[in-house]
Amino acid sequence: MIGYALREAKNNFRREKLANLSAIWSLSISILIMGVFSLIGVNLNKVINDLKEKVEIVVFLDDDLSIEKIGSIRKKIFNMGNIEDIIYTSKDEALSDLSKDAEIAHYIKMMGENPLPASFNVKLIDKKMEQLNNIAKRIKFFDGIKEVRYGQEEVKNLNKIIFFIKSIGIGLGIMLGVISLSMIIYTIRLIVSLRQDEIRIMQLVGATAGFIRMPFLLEGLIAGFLGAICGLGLLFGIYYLLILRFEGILFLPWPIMAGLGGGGILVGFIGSFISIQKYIEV
Amino acid sequence: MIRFEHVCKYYFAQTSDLEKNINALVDINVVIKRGGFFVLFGPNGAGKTTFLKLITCQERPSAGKIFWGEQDLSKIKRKHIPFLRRKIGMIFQDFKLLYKKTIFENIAFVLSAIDLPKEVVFDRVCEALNKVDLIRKKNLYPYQLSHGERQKLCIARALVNNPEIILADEPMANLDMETQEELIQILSKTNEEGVTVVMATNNKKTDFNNISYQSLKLVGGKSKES
Repeated sequence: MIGYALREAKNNFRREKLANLSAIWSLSISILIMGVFSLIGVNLNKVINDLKEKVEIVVFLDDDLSIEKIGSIRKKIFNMGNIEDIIYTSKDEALSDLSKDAEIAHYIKMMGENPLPASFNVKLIDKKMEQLNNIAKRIKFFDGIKEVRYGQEEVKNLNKIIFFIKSIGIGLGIMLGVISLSMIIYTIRLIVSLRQDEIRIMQLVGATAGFIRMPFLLEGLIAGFLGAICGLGLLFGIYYLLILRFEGILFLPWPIMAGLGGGGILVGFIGSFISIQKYIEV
Repeated sequence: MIRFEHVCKYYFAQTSDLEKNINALVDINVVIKRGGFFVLFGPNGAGKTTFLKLITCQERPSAGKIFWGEQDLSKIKRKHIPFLRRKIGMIFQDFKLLYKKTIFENIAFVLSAIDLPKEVVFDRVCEALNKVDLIRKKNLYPYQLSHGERQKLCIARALVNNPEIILADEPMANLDMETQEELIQILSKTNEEGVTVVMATNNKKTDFNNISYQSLKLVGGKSKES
């Protein structure tokens, strides 16, 4: 039965080459677009994770704190746990760092006095957002603390951007997936209608519904598979062009590639199943 | 072998101002004996094709029961219908030949459709073509045959799967007397080998060559057994 079904699927493909190619092309474009958005998402995720690695809590201190007070605050922060390192920057050191930029140095000189506070750069061992949040909130209430920052707004904004891009990608992908599904249904129905006489005779001489259906299902599966391969191939081509110009770009991880490929095959199968159902009534 | 008990078949039709049932068959009671030769007479529209369709389960009776042996065909499950049809050899009124396939392929197609292996197919097809004397033309296409030869091809296709019963729907239509006799002989020989033959015809003058047959006359869907 499988041999017969494969032979017939191959014949169907040859008979309606153009329609099959259109369906495969449409599916490969859907997968390509979803792949591009996934690629953007994966790489943006990498940027965020890299950022998170560099995120430190910056604790700005009140002016005119004594050395003992500064030491006591440092000890208190260290005793909170999860602290890898605390680096102290005095007012003078902060001014010196910022004055490397000539324009800023000029403005600061105009002000007359040093407006910059002393600060602690607190590096955590576990850099998860909840940990950062937790520790930052607690430090805020210490005596002698002017302000606490840890780049939470930047990370939040990046996460929003990723979510937005992923949503667009998924939305577009679904839309194009529906179009691909319609094209496959149209293609298979065209082939079935050209073979209606044969199908009818097969039904009347005792072919089972599964036997009649199998070549068309295989054809849909093959179209889906080829569409998935083409789409992923084009995506890899785009990725290859990108890494020639930019370093460090990640390709899609295996689970996402498998998901896209599997999705393509599934669309092919579902399309052919839907299109053949009406004609298989015994 | 096949028993019709108070079988009715009507189709629902909607005309411009009425909804009504069209009675294709009304209260048909008949027994077709195993190994018998059964002829269904009637003008066009009498219900002959509907009668045959009920046997192949292309239609279900609106009322009554049809039995094949002990099996009630009106209750047969859809998934079992293909296996019932493998016991039947159909000869269609409109031939239903595949014009892009050769004569050999038209018949082999039937055996491929029920997933028989290639080795079996070749021998069976040749045997069937021999019975109807078309073996020398096996590589021709249906359009290269005469009307009578196409009908013989249909008979060969019906016989290839060694059916228990042949259902022939107007096999003599548009044939000259000589070809009709030839076909009757083929069907008769098949019947002698134990295959039940059910033949629908609108031609009362068909010469059955001293074949002993059972008949039923249909007029407007109603029966007159003789």
